Amino acid sequence: MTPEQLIRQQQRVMEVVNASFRARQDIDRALRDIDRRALNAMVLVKKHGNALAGYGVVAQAFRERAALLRESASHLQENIAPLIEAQMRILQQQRLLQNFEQMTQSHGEALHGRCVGLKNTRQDFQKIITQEREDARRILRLLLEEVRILQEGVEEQEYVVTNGRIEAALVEGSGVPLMRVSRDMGEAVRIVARAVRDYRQQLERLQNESY
Amino acid sequence: MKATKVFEARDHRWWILYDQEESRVIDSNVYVMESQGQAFLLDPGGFEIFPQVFAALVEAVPPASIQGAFVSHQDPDIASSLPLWHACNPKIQWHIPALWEGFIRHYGALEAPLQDIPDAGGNILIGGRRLEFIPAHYLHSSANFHVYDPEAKVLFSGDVGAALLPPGHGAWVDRRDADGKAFAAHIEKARYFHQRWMPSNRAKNDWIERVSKLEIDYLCPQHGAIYSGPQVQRFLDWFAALPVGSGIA
Amino acid sequence: MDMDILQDYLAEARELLEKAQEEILCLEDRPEDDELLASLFRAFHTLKGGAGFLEAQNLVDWTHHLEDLLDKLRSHQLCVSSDMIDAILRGLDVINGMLQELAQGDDPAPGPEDLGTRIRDLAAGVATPQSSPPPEASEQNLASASVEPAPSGTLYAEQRLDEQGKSGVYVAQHNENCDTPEATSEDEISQSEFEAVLDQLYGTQAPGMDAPKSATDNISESEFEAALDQLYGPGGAPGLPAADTTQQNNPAARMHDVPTAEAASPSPSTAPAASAGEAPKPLAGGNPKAAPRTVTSAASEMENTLRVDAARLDAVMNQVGELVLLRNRLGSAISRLLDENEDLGRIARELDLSVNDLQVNAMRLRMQPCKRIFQQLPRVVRDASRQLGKNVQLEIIGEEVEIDKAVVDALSGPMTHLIRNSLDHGIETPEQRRALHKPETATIRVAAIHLGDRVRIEVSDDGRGIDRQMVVQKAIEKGVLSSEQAARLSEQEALELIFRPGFSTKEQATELSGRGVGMDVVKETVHKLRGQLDIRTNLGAGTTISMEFPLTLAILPVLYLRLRREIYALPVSAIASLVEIQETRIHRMQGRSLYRLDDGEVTPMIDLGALLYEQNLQLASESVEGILTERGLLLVSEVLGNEDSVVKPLDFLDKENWYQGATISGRGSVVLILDAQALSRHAIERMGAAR
Repeated sequence: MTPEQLIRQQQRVMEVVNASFRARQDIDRALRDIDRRALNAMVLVKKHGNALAGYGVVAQAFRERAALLRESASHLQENIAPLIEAQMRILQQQRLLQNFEQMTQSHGEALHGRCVGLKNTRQDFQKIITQEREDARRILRLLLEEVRILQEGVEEQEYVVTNGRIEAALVEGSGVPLMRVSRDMGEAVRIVARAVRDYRQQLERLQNESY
Repeated sequence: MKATKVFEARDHRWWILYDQEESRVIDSNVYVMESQGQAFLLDPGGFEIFPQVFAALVEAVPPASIQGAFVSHQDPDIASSLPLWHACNPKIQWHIPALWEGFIRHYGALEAPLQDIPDAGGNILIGGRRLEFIPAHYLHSSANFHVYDPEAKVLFSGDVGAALLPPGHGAWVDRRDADGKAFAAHIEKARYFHQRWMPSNRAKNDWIERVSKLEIDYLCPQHGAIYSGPQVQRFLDWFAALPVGSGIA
Repeated sequence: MDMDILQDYLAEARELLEKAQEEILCLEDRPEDDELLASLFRAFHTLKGGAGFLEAQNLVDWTHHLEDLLDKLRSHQLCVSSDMIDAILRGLDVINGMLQELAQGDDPAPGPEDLGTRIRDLAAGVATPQSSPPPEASEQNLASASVEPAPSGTLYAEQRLDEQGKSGVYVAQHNENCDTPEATSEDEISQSEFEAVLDQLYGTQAPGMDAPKSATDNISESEFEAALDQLYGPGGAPGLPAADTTQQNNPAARMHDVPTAEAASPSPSTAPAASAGEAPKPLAGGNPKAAPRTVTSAASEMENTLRVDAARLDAVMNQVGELVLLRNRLGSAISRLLDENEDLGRIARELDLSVNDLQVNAMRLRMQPCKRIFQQLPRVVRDASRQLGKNVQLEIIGEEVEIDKAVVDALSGPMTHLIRNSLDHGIETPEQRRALHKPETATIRVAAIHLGDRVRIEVSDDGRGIDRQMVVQKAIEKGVLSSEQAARLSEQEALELIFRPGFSTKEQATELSGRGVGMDVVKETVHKLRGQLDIRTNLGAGTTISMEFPLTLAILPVLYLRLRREIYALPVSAIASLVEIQETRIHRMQGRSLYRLDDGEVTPMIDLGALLYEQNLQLASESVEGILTERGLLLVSEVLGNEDSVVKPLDFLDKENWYQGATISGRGSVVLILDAQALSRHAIERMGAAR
């Protein structure tokens, strides 16, 4: 890999790292928001006794889904740190290799060619880097799988939101602002969906450009 | 490693990254000060633990937000990761004791932007908040600084207050320590470190006098755990009474 | 004394009394309503019979006088006057006292002699200076009954269709000279005459008998008796000597004891005469169409109603409560299983539904109509308005709305107090009202309104309203609060000072609305019943006090919340919505923290951290969420989830606290239930004190 390639790759990694931070924050905040809105709906429904039982079922489903989303989001996040760490280990090893090569260059090619130990050391470095890359790719695949699961969860949540809107329309006369509640829920789910989609694109770009 | 908040008030936060997973090198804490979306790194740690420090950092702040970093002295457990940080974010401004500049570049960062801190100390603004470089020379390094945040009342105290704790340790000296028992147990793990690594009683007394004038809620050492609330004064009293420089005694 | 029999009697007697009181008040408007008169007579008769069985001689004697008076009214030997109604009402109070003595295991003392004499005099048709017989009473009666005029004291009966088109029998007895006791003798009919009438009339459709069976037959006496038995229970038919009753219970024998003008000329035929008036009662009355319906509904009630000891119901409710808690814990435990077994999950959900249904049905067992709270009120209004010389019309709405028995039991005192208060302080005198161009007759409206899982009970009047300034001034004078504190009160808070202990706006508490112990007791009662008390007033236009209660006190839906490391519960009923706190919406003014809501409204902010732990929640450095209640925005660390909980009372706390009980969460830990109203009140007091 040329030094330019190395720099570009390092930049890409940093983009993913920063995107990971943003995605984690956005997803966390939106999921908290979803949870609160679902709970809010449940409280509203509970206050009105049996009249809004239909919406109560939806709100309950919404909250349960929100809990599942939080769980899959936490699985996702558990894998972000290892990915970053793996990428940083690659950086670390490349740095060592770079130092090594600077040293051998300063000693001249002749010495380098004759010394089997140095040659082996260089191979060792490269082997470690290859292994670390393999490891990083494995974690990346895992992470993309977690993102896919999270996206499925979001889709199911969107389905529940639609159900909620229908239920809300049925009991519109109750004086409880369930239509608004449903709209707010839909908005919160859309925020999660967008955050997850953007993050997935970042990860895929990293995967495609992988070395 | 884990990241946890030391202090938070709106957009002003202090984080500690602690409990490293590599026991062949000395266990170190890395601190991050965050203000209005800008971050400042304190004693970023050694080369060997860089990947885990960096991963833990992303739990706290986005790496792109790091504006500057502080290196209290020249030791490898503090500064040897410098080239790696520089590779990740070349914009980071490095604040280092002027005395050690030529030494620190040896870690392999010939191009990194290094800002010298004069012996008398100085100030820096991060995200609109002022940090003070407090001289702590000879504690233990001959050119050595601590960092004080007057708003958060945090003192980053480098090797002062350091304790050698086993893996899995917490970030804090037990905060519900009403009778001081937890402090007493903790300080035993700090005693030898201070007696042997700190060379000068005069330097120690000078530092205690200087630091006693500061209002400190959190005293944050680079090894071990944070002293908070009344434990800060307990520590200062203990340190004042401790004879140091035991290597030549 | 057989305690079971006593308990049964007491319960029945109280019901009879309540009903009687209501009927007497109706009688004032409809003095010739035969149905009312007959029903009242029966009530006293039944009361007396039971008292005799319990050997409570003084109660027997007392009810006997009243029974006698009613008998005269029923048979139109006397006409209803408001004096009589006063006397009968007071007589009822005496019976009530005697029942209480009985309940305490005492033999009731004799009733007050003067009232006894008065009732006897009234029955005897003497000493009724204020009583003037309603003019043309009999004519009215005739008109309404549309029966051919008849010689006085004669029993008339005819067969006619009721409103459902079923054939019924209408029996009426008319007495043209209703104020002449001498007419008695003419009322009498002999047993055989009566039987003949019955046989003649009951031809096809004897009430209480199955229509197909009796379609063509004339009924025999035994069949008639059986029909009565079916209605009233064996031997319970009012006025009819049952086969096994003693001579004492025999109406004929009873009549001989009566020291009245009627008894002065005893004859064997008196008893059947009395019976004649009573036995066909379901058929007789001012509203003949109602008669057959009464019969059928009474019969079906008899078959479908059980009288159950309240203690047993409570035990069922408690067990259901425990079951609900166990259900919650089971649900929580199953959800924590790592590999949730699908069967287990389904069973848990089904159990959930079952327990919900059980809970709803058990709750219904305890529900009673609000009528039981309201039925005493006409009397209260009548007495008080007469005493104060005010014209008041009472409007009652929603008697049929049902609510937990505990609320019904506890609320009659407070309701009486609210009505009296309204009459005494709220309603102006007729002269004042005239001057204000208000209708001279004021209206007090009492309403029960069903609102989802809550019931609101309102008392409103169109009187003068409450002057907040005056309330505040009095409160300061009485040392309820300092003038600085008062200056910071909102209008609503100023108004609510009237609920403070020891507060009374009248310089001298009147006999009617008590001695300043009223409104705080109302508030205390509402609070104990987990209700919410609210007051709205419009100066010059009137005041409304509303109380909102949960449908059931046994199950409490709560929201769990975290305050730093502790978990608390808050009743869902107190919550308007959950709010995400935004710092820019917080405003601090004069030591109070306010929060601007989405709709631009501003509400007080109540920091539970400050209130419960003396340590404010730090929006900047810890998680803070908002729970909007009617009284303000509660700040907590985190809102966790909701659950149907069962309240366990706390009895070891000081009187002044902000918990309304404890519950056991799904995870099995004890959680304190916060009282939103007490919290907001306390927060306001603290803000006052902090300055």
